[in-house]
Amino acid sequence: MLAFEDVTRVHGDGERAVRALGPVAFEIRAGEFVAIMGPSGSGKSTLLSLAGALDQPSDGRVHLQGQDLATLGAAELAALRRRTIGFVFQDFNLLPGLTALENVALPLELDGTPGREAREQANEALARVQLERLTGRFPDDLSGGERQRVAIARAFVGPRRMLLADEPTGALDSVTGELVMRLMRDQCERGLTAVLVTHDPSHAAWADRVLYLRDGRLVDETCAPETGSGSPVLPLRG
Amino acid sequence: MSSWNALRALARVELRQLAWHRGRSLLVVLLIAVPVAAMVGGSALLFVTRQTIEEQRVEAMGQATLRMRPGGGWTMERALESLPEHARTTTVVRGTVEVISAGRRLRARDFRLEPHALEPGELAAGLLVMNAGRAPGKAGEVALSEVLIQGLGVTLGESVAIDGRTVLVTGRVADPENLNSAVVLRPYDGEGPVGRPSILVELPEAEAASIAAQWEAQGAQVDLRSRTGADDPFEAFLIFVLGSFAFFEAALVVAAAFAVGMRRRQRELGLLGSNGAPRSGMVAALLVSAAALAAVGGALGIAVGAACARALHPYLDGWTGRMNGPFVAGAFVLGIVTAVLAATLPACGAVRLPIRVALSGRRPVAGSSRGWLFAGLGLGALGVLLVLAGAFGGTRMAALLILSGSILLALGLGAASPWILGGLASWAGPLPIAWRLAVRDAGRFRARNGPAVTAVMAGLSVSVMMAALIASVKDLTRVLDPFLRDDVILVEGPAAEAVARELEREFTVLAAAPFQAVYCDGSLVRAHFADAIRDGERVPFDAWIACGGEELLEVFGVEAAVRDFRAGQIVTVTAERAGASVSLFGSGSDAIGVVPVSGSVATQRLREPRALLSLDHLDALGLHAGLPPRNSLLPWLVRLDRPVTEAMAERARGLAAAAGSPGNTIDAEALRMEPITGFYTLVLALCIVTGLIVIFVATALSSVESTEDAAILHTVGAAPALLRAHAATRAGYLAFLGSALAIPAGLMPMIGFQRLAALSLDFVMPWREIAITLLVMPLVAYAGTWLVATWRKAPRRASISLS
Ligand SMILES: Nc1ncnc2c1ncn2[C@@H]1O[C@H](COP(=O)(O)OP(=O)(O)OP(=O)(O)O)[C@@H](O)[C@H]1O
Ligand SMILES: [Mg+2]
Repeated sequence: MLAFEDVTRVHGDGERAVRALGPVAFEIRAGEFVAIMGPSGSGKSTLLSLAGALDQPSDGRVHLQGQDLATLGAAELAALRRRTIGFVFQDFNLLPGLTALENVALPLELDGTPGREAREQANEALARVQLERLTGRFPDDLSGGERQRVAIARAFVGPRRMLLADEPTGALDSVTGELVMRLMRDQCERGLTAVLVTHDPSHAAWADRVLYLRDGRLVDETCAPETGSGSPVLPLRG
Repeated sequence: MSSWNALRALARVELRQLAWHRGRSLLVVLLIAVPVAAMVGGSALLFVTRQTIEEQRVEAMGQATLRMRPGGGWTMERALESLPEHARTTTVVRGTVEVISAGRRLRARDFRLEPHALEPGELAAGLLVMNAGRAPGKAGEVALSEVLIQGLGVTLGESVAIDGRTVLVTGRVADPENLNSAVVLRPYDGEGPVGRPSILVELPEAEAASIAAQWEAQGAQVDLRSRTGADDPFEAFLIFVLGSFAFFEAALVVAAAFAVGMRRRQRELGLLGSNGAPRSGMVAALLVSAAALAAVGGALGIAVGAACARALHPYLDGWTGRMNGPFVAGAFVLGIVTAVLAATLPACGAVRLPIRVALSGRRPVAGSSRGWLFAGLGLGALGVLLVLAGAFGGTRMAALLILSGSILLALGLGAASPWILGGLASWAGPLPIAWRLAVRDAGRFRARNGPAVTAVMAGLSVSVMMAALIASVKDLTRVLDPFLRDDVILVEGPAAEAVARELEREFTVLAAAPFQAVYCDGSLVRAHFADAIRDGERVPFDAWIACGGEELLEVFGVEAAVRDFRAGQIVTVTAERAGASVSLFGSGSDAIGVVPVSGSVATQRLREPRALLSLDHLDALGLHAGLPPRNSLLPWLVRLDRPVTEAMAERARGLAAAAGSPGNTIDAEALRMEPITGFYTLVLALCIVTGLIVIFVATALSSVESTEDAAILHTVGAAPALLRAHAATRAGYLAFLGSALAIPAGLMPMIGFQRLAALSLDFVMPWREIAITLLVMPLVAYAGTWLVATWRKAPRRASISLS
């Protein structure tokens, strides 16, 4: 589903160059739930934005569904973000001017789906996060946890198959955070691929695999006990 | 289809935004509405005072191809005889007449038309229109205009007395060019006409031309339809040019307003991008929302402009309630184009921001502004060159050159403003903390603050321009001769005499007299003073001649010339020494006579009339009396024992209104300055209000810019006073820079347009207004922001987890 091939991201040039990430190489299979952990400034957000085609690597390649992102134009990348990738950020995920339903339907409508069909699919997605009763509410009238659930619903609405979440539980209490994690887990059981950036080991425990970043490099990989190969720590390239 | 769905979804986001941020939407609506209203109102006023060519033709000759007025021995009968068989003709006799009912006497314009001549398809159709009842069909019947019907207190079916005969009122008639005019319509029955007769003729175009030439050779006055009427595109063009300038200024401000909006919504746009919204779609949706706002603004502007024009209606002679379609549509479209163009740059800029940066909510720091400086200097220099070329080149394109030059200059100054901001920032070291932060920050984010400065400049440059115009016009009116003596009241209208008599009761009146103009064979006589001398210089001039009784001398303050007047000499009311005699000219180019001139000179200079002649001598000279050039029936001049103040003129107005007949007007020199300065002052006030609005847009922009700084200052424990001072200082600083740039930007077009104006205006520097612009505006910006900052809630967190 997603593959990084010796990807490096450097900000600035010359003496002021900052290596935010890399080189890193890894692969995530379809249906996998991967968590990324690491200290602040280790490049987690950078990695996520490269995976989501919000940013281009300075070096190396990012493959998504077998496609090299570097070969795609701006319009194709935008289409990719509409159809394949869904982002969930720590805060500010929803357009305040649209209702929950409209927010979820947005990527579909942007992709040309007729309004009614888009709303039907959005309703279905909201039902999957148990928010079917709040479809008409505006974001300001929702709690933080409800807002994140709407964002998650939007991340897998319609044909979208990959969820990239950057500290989605950062602003939530632990109970609500658990709820959000459970939702993501459920979606992965149904075939969704998810990448979660988190500082919280208990959240990372929901994942199939955890990648550890330090100073822009992958230093560690843990597999969840029930799905792992038995050896929790694997040496990694790079 | 699919991109249509996407656009719809994005447009929905944008339109919700408009409803969400009502303040900003309202601002854009108003910014578009003001110039649209000005253009619509201005053109409405212009086009009611200026007739179209077709209206001029209909007023002169109805539907006919030519009109003949007898003269030089060429009579009606001979004209009718010389016409071919297939020519259609009708006779129109114009004059003035007195209508009497129950002791009330009103003067009116008298039209005698053949029965049915006003009906559709007939030659006189359109000359007058019947609004009620029926046109008079036989002797003893008459139609009156609304003014007379009200003034006399009669209704249709009652009788009035005209020329000593009792006649039946059968209908209500109106002059379509002047609904407030007193008009009498009577049937022409072929009897010897009283007044100025004319024949309307319908003939094929080619024949009409040759007949016209033939009749003119015989001394008749002939108007050919094809030669009648002149369009004066200049004023329409000027309104268009000034309107475009106003739209340009509005565009800059709207652009700044959109920039504020985009800045506020940076993360939202990033979020749309992260969900795969295409850039083109986002730009299109932003432009759609701009167009929607502009459409609302345009509609509002049209309504306000029309309402204003209508409200001014009582002060205009001859308003007919027409609007100029193309101008209204043009202003509306210009409004939309303006808003869309203004939104384009901020929209593209906001959308071009990398999604990651947009999501982070960080402000992109400006790059080098030297390129902008050179671009600005180049544009500005080109603009100044164009203005000078327009002002001194004397080409037909002058107005366009000045307009485009002024716009380029404004753009140039705007483009240079980031560099100025950057330059000033490096000098901020020794300033107190609030100022240092403001100046440094404006310099660091100069790419965003430049537009704010530009917008302030644009908004205030119009004020500076208007101030310069007002100063110059005031200066001009001080230099020009007045229209009336300062102690004279002019009364016009159907009941002018009655009003004059009322004035005699109310004020101490030295003299009151009606006056007419001197005519020859139905055309106004002009006296050519070839040898006039003023201040030792020869200043030949032409003047029409007022005629009346001896009281006229006293009214004009030339009583000393009474013996010459009695002797049939022309008395001048000018500062010029007029020479010993003067030649009179009628319609032709040959003099119709030479009359001696009295040596007496009036105590006050007047622009017109400048020559007086006794009524008693007209016959002997082969002349006759008629309507003065302004077509105002029989006007009366009333001279008081002291100068007429505005309050006195107002009292006179009250008397005129109470005189029992509508349509009577009062004029006095004291009133003449009032509408001019009143109008300009209103415009100036509007400009200043617009300028203030603009300043607060810029203020909003700067307060958005300083949200994060404020948050940091807040967390490090800055006193609330410093937080307020921080925002206020930046607003004041930007306003000051904008005001300073507004001075060259506003004076430049004014210098150009003044050289074009028909009256050669001298340029007068509006020092007071410039001082106000430079000092008061920034202070207002400072104070306003300070107040707003006082009740603003604590700054919100402004970053997201992605960063
Ligand atoms: N635009 C930029 N210019 C320069 N350096 C950058 C830029 N963006 C990120 N960096 C640097 O790249 C490194 C990785 O940043 P990144 O945002 O990926 O960290 P992170 O792991 O998400 O940290 P956190 O957990 O604090 O969110 C940091 O050292 C940061 O300073
Ligand atoms: Mg991060």
